[in-house]
Amino acid sequence: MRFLHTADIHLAKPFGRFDEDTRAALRAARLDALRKLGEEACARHAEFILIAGDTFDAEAPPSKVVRRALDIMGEFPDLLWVLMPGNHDSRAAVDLWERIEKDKPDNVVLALTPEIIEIGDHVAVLPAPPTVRNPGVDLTEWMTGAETGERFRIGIAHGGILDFGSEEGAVAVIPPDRAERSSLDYLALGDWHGQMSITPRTWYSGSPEADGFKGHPQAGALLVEIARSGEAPLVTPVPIGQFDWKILKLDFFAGTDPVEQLAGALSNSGRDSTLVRLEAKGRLGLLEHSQLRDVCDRITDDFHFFEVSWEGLGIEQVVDDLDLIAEGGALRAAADSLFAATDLQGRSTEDVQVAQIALTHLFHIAREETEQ
Amino acid sequence: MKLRMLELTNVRRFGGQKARLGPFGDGLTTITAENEVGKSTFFDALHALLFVAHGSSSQEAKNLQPYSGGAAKVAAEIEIDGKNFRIEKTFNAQKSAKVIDSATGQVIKQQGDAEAWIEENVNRANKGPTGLLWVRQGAIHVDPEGKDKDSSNVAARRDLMSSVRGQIDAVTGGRRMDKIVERCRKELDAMATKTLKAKAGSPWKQAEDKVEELLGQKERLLKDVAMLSQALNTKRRTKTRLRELQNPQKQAERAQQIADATEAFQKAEQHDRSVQDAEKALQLFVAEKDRLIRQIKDITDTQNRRSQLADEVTQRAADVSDSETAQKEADKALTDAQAVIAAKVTERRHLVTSLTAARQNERSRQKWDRLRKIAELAAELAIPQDKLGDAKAILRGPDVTQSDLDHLVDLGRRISIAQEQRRAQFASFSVRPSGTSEAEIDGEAVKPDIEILVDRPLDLHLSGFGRICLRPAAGSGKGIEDPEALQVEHDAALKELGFETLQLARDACNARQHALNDKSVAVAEIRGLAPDGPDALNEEWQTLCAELGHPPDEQLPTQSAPKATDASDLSAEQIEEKIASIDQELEELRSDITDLQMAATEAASETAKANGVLNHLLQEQISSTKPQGEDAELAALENARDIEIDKEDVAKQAYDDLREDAPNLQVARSTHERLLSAENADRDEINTLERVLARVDGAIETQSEGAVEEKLAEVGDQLEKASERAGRYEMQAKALTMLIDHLDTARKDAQETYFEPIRNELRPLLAQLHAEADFELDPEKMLVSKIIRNGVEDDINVLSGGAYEQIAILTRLAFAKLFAKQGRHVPIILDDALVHTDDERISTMFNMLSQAAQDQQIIVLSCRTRAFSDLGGTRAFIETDAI
Repeated sequence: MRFLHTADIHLAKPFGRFDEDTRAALRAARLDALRKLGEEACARHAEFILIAGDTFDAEAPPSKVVRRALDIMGEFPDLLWVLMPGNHDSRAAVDLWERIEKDKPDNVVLALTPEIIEIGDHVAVLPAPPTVRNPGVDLTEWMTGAETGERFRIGIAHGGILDFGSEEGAVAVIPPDRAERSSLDYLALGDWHGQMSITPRTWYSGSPEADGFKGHPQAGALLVEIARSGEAPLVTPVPIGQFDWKILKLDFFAGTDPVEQLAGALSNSGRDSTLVRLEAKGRLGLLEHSQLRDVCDRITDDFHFFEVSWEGLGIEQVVDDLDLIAEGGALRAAADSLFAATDLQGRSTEDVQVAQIALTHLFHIAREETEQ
Repeated sequence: MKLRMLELTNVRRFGGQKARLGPFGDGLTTITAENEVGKSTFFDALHALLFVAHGSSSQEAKNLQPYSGGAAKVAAEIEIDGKNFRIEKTFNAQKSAKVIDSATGQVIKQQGDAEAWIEENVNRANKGPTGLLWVRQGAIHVDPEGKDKDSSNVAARRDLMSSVRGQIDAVTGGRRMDKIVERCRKELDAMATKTLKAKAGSPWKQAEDKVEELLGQKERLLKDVAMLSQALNTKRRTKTRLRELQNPQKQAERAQQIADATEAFQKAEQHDRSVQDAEKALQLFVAEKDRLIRQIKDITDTQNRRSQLADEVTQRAADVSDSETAQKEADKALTDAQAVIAAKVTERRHLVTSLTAARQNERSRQKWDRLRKIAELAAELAIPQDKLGDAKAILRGPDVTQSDLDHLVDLGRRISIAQEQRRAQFASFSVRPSGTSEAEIDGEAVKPDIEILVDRPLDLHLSGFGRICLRPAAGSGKGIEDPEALQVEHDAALKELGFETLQLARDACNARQHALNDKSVAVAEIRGLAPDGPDALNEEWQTLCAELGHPPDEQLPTQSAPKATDASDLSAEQIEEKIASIDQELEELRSDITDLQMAATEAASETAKANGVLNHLLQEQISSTKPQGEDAELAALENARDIEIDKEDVAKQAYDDLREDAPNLQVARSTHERLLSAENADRDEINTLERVLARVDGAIETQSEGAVEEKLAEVGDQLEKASERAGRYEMQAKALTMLIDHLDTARKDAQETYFEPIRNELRPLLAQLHAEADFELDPEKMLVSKIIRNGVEDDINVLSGGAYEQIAILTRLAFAKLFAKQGRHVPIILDDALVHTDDERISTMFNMLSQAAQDQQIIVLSCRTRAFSDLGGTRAFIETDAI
């Protein structure tokens, strides 16, 4: 028995932080991910696809998005899609699920109630659909007493595992050993956007298309193969995601070459489908700081999105740097006093940041004046 | 610090060579050598040694490299506070730095530590600008014979001053600082207001406006999302409720309940109607029975009443008789009282008449008494009246007052005094003719033995003798009154008074005084006897005589006044007492009359009432005569009553039986109504819910098509980003403000540190060169901007090159002196610094340099060997060796 496990597609997610083009591209990528799931499932001879919640990002997504999603699922008529509500599109979104119920193609099955869904004569899907955004109770408990005969017992649930919590910090209620307790062959989980194995029978598939700088590994789905009921499943990651989200936390040190360090952390290929958030930490001299800023400005357009956080990067006093402002006199005295103001001792973080910006700016202007 | 020696190895023009320059003395050291020997190279190297880090890749370091390349090494022997050190640095390759204790040859610091040592002991010791005390050679060669002499001169001067300026600028930051500050201010001004708020039109303001706009959108979207959420919740609840209401099983159960309840209710209603009918029948029998009972009672009551009436009539007749008797007694009492009052009134009338007569008698007696009194008074009045008449007669005479007398006496006195004075002053003579001789004065014979005063010119004729002219002495008689004039005045006064002599006047005056006294006394006596005056008394006499009928001129009779008629023996007071007593009795009697009248009225009323009651009873008696057949009627009624009682018993039993079996109509009704009501309520609720559902479906469709949730999330993200952007601008503004503050503060500190002391040091120096000249320092640039000589102000730019360079040197000297005063000794290095100075001024400059060199190490480099040969001081030379 073979099927594809996915979740957290979050169709129609807004991505408001990004510019319009990027937003449109990221949204389109999610619908594309749905199609790719179908293609991968067909290519790998999966019998069905389980979507363990959060297919949609909101309780009332635009009907166009719902329509397109259902159309995409309909493009694979031999493939069964089992759709379960998550916490973003919980059972409380009555209107949404009514629309889907009305407009879905025949190969889409809705897991809206905690009742066994029989697929063929050998599979029993036991869904635990969230009734509201944060149910706060363990909805998987019913699986233990569910009579499924000889069928494979595949559970679907959405939410946080008791051990480490939910993606969005909601109350975690699913016991990590639910699969074992309820004699499930596999428990397909949604909510956590990164692929993760809880137990050999319990997995988060993660999002098929990444949606944030969360440091999750490559976005994709899971191909689950179970030879016989009771045997351990073979779970294989299936890459799906179009965009690569990278969060780089780099520590810089004065006296080193930050440009080189940054270059080493960035891949040269696939930049146009990569979104980067650089969190610069450490300390650099003024010149090095300036060089790093310049290179970041230059490479921004190489990537689909490139963002830098400078708050964690301090200024290191290097004599030559301050000499580049002035070797002495009032200008140097001003540079020295500004540099002293970048010391965190006895100062607020904001004051230190302001002083750093001031000193950096002085450096730039002084250099420009010198070059003129 | 003092320089002792410089050594260069493979530096610039000394590539492949080691060159030494020195020794440098404590005071003035002169190094004269032709151009391009490398003098400036030494000092460029010295500057790099002191102020460029050995590891630096700066242009200054690179400039030390010779053409052939390689490491450039610079060393200097210096003295600090009596100790000698050697500083070495290697630039560009094999970079290193060392500080060596010259006494021991030990390396005391290396590399970074050496840099720090130099900074601390050489540069920082100045606590001031680096390179300040240098006067560098002009960058442009001055060619006096060249075509563009003026412009090249100006350029040379400008370059010279700019080297000064550049080094002073190093203190204050100079133009570079100005540009930086100006740029910062412009940037700040472009983005922020004076109060550090976003300026209108600036990117910051746009960012803030964007944040505001997004906040507005977010607020609106939150409402929309809330509405959507509410609509979804409402739909959820509505559908759940509809399912409950439209449950078929529940509906079937309800229908059955309603049917059962309806049947039960109908049965209960029918039974209830039967009970009501039985009750009505019972009530009819009871009503009939009551009517018969009332009729029976009426007849028996009438019979009872009839027997009562006879007794009452008898009683009432007795009452009437009693009332009439009482009425008669009351009337009699009233009549008696009225008679008594009438008698008392008559008595009083008589007494009043007697009182009038008694009063009349009293008045007559009083008049007679008064008349006698007046006669007595008149007799007494005669004496004072006579006295008064006499006094008045005297007073009518001449009015001589005491002042008149005093005036006469005074005149007499003056006359005497004048006479005495005349006698004293004037000579006098008398004649006693003998025989028939005669003497005449002014034709008048002179009586013998009469003293004659010579108070005027006199011509005394003596018969037989002749004339003797007598003249008073000059001035005699001055101030003496004329006694004759006085006498005339005296006599006139007497005559005016009407007397011949003073004594007569005096007697008259005395008599007058007495008369006045007598008059006063008489007037007082008369007033005492007749306060209103004798005339009033007389008038009263006349009046009383007329009233009493007595002739006023006749004497009064001696007997008492006659009595009036109708006068009683009682006095008026006694009569008045009696009248008062009768009045009191009358008052009491009248009060009693009122009570008697009320009693009589009451008695009459009672009598009338008793008569009225009696009449009423008599009429009733007549009307209640027993009719025929009354007894038979009564018996029939009693019989009918008994029959009705039986019927009533039967009907009551039937009614009680029905009531006992009755179902609870209230319960059946309420159950039936409740079920119907619930059914209707469910129906209504279903209708309402369906309408609600239609409405929320519309709202959900609208909001979901509007993608409000997505838009809210999107706006939230955008808002976060916009807020970050606005925050960055704010930080930028703060940073610019901080930057400008620090720059301004540093510049101000530099100015304060250097400006004023510089002025104080420079002024006396400049005075040596330009007597009575003053200058203005540009505080921004710390350069002399104007020089004022003989009241004429010249801008520094128009000065000659020589004046320019002199001022530059003097500025250095001023700094050096300043540092020296602060205990910091810094060498001054003048590298071809007096190239434009004329001979006269150069001499002055030499003097000043020499003076300064007494406390200051000054190293002078010049290519003008001859000119500088007069400078004096230690001479140093450049020596070179191949490496």
